[in-house]
Amino acid sequence: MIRYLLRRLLLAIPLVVAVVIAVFLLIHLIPGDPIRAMLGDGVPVADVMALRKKFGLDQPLTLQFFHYAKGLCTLDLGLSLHTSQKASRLIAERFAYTSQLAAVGFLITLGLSVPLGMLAALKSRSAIGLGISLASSIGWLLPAFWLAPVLIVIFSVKLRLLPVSGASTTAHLILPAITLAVPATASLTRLIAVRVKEELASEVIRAVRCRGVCERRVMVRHLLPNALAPLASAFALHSGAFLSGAVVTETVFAWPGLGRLLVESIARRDYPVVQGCLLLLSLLYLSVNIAADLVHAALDPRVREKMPC
Amino acid sequence: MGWPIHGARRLKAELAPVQTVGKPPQTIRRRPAGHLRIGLALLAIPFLVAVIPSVISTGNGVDMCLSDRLQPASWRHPCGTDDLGRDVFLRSAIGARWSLLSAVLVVALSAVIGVSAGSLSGFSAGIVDRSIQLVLDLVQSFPGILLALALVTLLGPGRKNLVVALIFTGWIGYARLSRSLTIGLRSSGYIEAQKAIGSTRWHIIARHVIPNITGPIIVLMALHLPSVVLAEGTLSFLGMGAPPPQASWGSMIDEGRRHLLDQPSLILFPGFLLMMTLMGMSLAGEALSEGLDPRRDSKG
Repeated sequence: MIRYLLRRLLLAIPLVVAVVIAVFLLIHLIPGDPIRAMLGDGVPVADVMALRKKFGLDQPLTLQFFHYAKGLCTLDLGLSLHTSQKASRLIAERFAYTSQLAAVGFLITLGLSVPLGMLAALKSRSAIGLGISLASSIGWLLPAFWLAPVLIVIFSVKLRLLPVSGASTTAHLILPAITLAVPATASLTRLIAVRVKEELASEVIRAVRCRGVCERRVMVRHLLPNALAPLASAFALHSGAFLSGAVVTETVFAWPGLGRLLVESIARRDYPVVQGCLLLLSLLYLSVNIAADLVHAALDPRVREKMPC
Repeated sequence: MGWPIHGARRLKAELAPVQTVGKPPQTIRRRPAGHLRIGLALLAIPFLVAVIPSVISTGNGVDMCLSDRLQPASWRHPCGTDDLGRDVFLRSAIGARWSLLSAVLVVALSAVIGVSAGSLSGFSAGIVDRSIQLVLDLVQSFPGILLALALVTLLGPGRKNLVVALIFTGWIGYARLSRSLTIGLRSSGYIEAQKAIGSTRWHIIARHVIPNITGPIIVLMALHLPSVVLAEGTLSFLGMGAPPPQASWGSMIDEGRRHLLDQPSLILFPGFLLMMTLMGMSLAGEALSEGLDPRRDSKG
């Protein structure tokens, strides 16, 4: 297991380096000059040059990359072109909100999809099972940018139960978290139902049943671990959808998280912040994927054996 | 063979036609043909909406008419008008044309690029394979839509750039799939024979590898289609698509949020069309994948 872990981490290193380079190049591939784009037309050349100097954009590319990489080691992402604040601080503030939202959304997703998926598989011929599979195949397709306004109309405007937008109280968290959780729950429920059905038909479960093990023990000890092991990686792939869902959800609910910061910074052409957000989000995504591989390997010894190198 | 039928399942099982002995009571019997029919029926709705206005209307969906702003549904405006007096039905129709067209374009071009790269990578070992793999890993280490978002930022918002960005993130799946399929084929007899008679690499890939992997590729295309429509909607919603006077479902929903209370049809109608498209495409895609490849891993 330790060997697997080390190997997996080593394999990730070139990818992390490549991501850092790609994100760095982003700002330099933009047609035109970010400073000019920021200031608009008709600004004296001297001012443009001064700003270029301030943000270090007048140096050669390799030197800039060197500074950028050096900054990264001390978590310095440069200054925001918009507010001249430290980009890292700006991002850290917003990230706290996103992680809050993502954590609640994740808990809802996990708490609902496992029991619902099991239920759908075990009672697949009853109304409950059919209802769940129908609901999950619809919920999977609900676009967040449509679901969110509809939820606002129902719960905030008609029923007056929850606040429309903002982030001051816990109640503000509920609707965004639901918006984030609905498509994820639906698609995971489908996956879990499929996996559980496959496992139910497997020889392992038949053998355990033949030995007269009680149903509950069959489910908890034998069926669930087998069915859920491959889902760790499926969940990691979904975390990408989760992150992009967060961008939309935060925009609609005015939730001051990373996704909204990204969209705002794109609109303001605040490239250091855009770079920082992208870097953080993709590194997060990478680490979630590694973590999922590790969980999968911990649950399933076969995965450890056939590690590619 | 089967496990005991108990509880709520019994009634259903008794009502169902007699199970043949020795066959475990299958989970929901999927009927691909039925799925396909429902899927196509749902898809017909956005298609019709896309076509009808060009027959009966002369408007372009962009011209404003402030005296008509926020009209309720009527014969002249079946879904009312938005806050600039533009017909919601007509704009949704233009959005439908754009969404369907761009999704097909993105899927087709992604497939062409991905299959070429993937089969080349799978067929050749060494540096070519390694470098294509590296590009794949790199693109995949960004969550899809965020990468598209970053690319559109880079290229500037607009329909053409949106399509480019979606292709950039879309070809990965095809490349991975065709690479692994090609590796499976590489050692088969007829490929060996082609190599033995001295055919070039491109000839073998184009004439012998690609025709043999089309089945799974078509399935992937069908499953890719709805996710492209969704991604296109999301990016347009975030303002990365066509610039304002142009209509697309995502941007219409974004604009409609301002009149959530007094004119909900502004977001409900494009949202409804979007949902019908997504549902129709995914049902048809599922049916297709089950029809074309019964041994496929069930991946939900």
